[in-house]
Amino acid sequence: MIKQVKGMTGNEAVAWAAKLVNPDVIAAYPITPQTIIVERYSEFVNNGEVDTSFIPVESEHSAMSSCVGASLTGARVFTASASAGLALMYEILYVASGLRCPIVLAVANRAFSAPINIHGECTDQLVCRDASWVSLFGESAQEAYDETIMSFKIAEHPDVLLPTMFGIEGFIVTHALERVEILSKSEVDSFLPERDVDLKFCPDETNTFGSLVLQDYYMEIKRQQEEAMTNAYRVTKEVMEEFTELTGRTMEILEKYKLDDADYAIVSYGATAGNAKAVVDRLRAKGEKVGALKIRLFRPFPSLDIYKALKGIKAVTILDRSVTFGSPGTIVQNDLASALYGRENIPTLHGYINGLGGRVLTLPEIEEVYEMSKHYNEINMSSTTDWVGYRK
Amino acid sequence: MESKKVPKEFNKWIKEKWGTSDLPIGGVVPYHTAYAYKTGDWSAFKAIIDKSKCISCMNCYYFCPDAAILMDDELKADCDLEFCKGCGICAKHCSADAIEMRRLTR
Amino acid sequence: MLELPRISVKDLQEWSKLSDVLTSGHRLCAGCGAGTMARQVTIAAKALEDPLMIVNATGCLEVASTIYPYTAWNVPWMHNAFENAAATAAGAIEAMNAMNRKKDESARKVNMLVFGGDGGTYDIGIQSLSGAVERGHRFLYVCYNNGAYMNTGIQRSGGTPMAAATTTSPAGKVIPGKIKWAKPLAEIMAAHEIPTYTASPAYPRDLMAKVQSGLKHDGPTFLLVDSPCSLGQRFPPSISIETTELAVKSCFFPLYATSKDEWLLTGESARIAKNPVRKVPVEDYLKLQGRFRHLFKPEWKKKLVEIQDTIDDRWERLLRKAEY
Repeated sequence: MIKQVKGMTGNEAVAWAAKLVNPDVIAAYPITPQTIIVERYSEFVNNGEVDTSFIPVESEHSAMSSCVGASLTGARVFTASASAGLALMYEILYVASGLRCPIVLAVANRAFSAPINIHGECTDQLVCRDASWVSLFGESAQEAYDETIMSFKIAEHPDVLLPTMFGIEGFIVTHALERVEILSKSEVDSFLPERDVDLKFCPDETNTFGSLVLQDYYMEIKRQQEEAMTNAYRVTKEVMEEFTELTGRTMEILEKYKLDDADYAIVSYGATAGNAKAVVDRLRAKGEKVGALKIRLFRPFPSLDIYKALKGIKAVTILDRSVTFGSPGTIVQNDLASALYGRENIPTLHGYINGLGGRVLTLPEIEEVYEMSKHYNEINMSSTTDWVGYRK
Repeated sequence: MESKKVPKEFNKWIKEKWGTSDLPIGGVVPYHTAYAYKTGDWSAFKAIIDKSKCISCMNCYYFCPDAAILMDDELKADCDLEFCKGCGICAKHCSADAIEMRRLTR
Repeated sequence: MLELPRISVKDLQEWSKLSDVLTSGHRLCAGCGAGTMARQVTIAAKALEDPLMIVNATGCLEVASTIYPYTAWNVPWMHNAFENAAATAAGAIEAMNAMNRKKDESARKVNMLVFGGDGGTYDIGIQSLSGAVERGHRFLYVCYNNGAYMNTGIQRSGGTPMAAATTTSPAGKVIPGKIKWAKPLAEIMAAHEIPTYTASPAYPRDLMAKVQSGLKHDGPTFLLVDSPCSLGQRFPPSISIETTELAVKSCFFPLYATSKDEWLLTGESARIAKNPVRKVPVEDYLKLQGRFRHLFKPEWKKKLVEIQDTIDDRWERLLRKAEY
């Protein structure tokens, strides 16, 4: 297979991938660092290169609202946001999943105000974990490109029909120019067939969408969502396998790096995973038995796969570019703890809140927290949580 | 008078109290079903229409909030007792004084 | 040029043969103005050629008509949330346009109706509405104004008139109900340079003509309906229609159509303009309603005068705009 390669930033990769998908509707509102996605796409629209209806709404709340309205007609729908914008959508995220709208949302992960900050941090997406959205993270422009296309296939699968978001870190990925292997229109068309919709909002059907559902039926409707989320785990795996076949690049819900013989592991997601792998190489050179695990699929959380990957490891260092206050651990650490608790041969978990507001976590700092986790384990301390990379 | 019925399938839906695996996903309801919910027992008062007086002015039909006025083939008004909530608007605005609100005991 | 279709009693008779859009079995209160309003609006829409689709903001009409698994809507109908009905409709319209475009089908016309109450329109939904109107999606937005957040228990809204008692603007010892007048919503929407109408369900032919005019327009249009509420405005259910009739007759709620500086008084309001003796004192309207009862105590007599003066002043200004 001859690979076509292009230099693109993360945002451009999303826009060009979306162009191949050619969604029916994009409703979006500008917010740094997401803007380039919608700017590029607006050019495609205004130059007649796509058929998409672009709705330049007056807020992110209306962006997600328009996406819901559009998705229920049976259309293929895409939007992008970040930070405050995602927070403004929050109410409608639940409506989108509750009404089973397979909307795809690209998140340019950015820190929350206050203090206001425009740089990379993943708290914005992680706190949407309970909204019944499939949630993916990408490490690079390539993964941004790939996840844009895969997200539609996951979301629109008849066993799923849940909205799907994927995140790339603001500036670190969204604005960094990288090498991206691209696909052709025909490859994407055969990978992603047209939406097949059962009941839709259209003149020929008399469906009522968005009823008031009270105590007598609410739990059943919600339970359907949970079952769809369970299905999303299987479907995501299948879609990634199919994508791997299409591109020849291995795409999995978890990326395991030198874990097979490891005593220690560094768990991360998004762009941090690149640094984690670099540190693993440095530590391996010093004779440390360490590997890395990258979480690509955050919701549904692949508990069993993670257990299998970390079984027998002594201690895990979790690099979490997000913050939660007054919590027993970092956001991802909490999920890891739930996934592993009560199983055999599990590691101690050492979570490190880092990189907030775009702060760079250096390779020596990662080495340092790795040594710390190892030390905690050696002195028989159970799991710990701390901050790293800030001035005391 | 036109009968207001829901599809048989829906009766099954409410009687069997469908669960997670049977209900259409996302809470969508595929056809109108409110005819299975009779609001006629909300009030003992009902609009009793003297058809012989009706002049087809249509006031009752367009003022009724409940679509509980039915026009027959001769465009004379009838009250649908299964759904009339007894508000009395039609009686108040009848051009021909043909409607009386009466207490019906069951 | 503003032109409204003429609707005859014969039309009303003919349209009674159409199947109901809002069916019996909904659970709005007995005598609810929203029920009457929604029936008139949807019958007028149904009488047109193109198919009807509805987006409904959260509120009494939405809640009471779709208590699962019952729904009283015999057309495609969608509810998303409280503040986003206009944006939701915009999404649906543009999605259908895009799908038609892809299939190379000539755009199939649909009549998109959006319903929102005063809370969902004057207050929390005005941003979404203004944005959608600016972008020019083709829909008729119908705001049924009953003057408070009735669905949550009669709290004051931006559509509540001066001095009305609500649960968050009660008739107190020092403050007699709501302090300020309602937002001039129809004027705000008219300032978007779109056809804008006001109507009352007491005058169905006038209301329905405006619905049909609005839906035929190639772009967004706005209709503000005075919607009586027996529970929240506090009067017996049987006088719902009488109440809104008096709102019109007292010029508290004038009926008009406007587009780009052209102002056309319609129906009873046009008759009052030509024959001012038809205008009744605003007290006739206020005294029917429990929400204004406190104004009839001696200590608030001044407030009654202030209300009448304001109504008179607004009516005079409207007459000038309509060139009477």
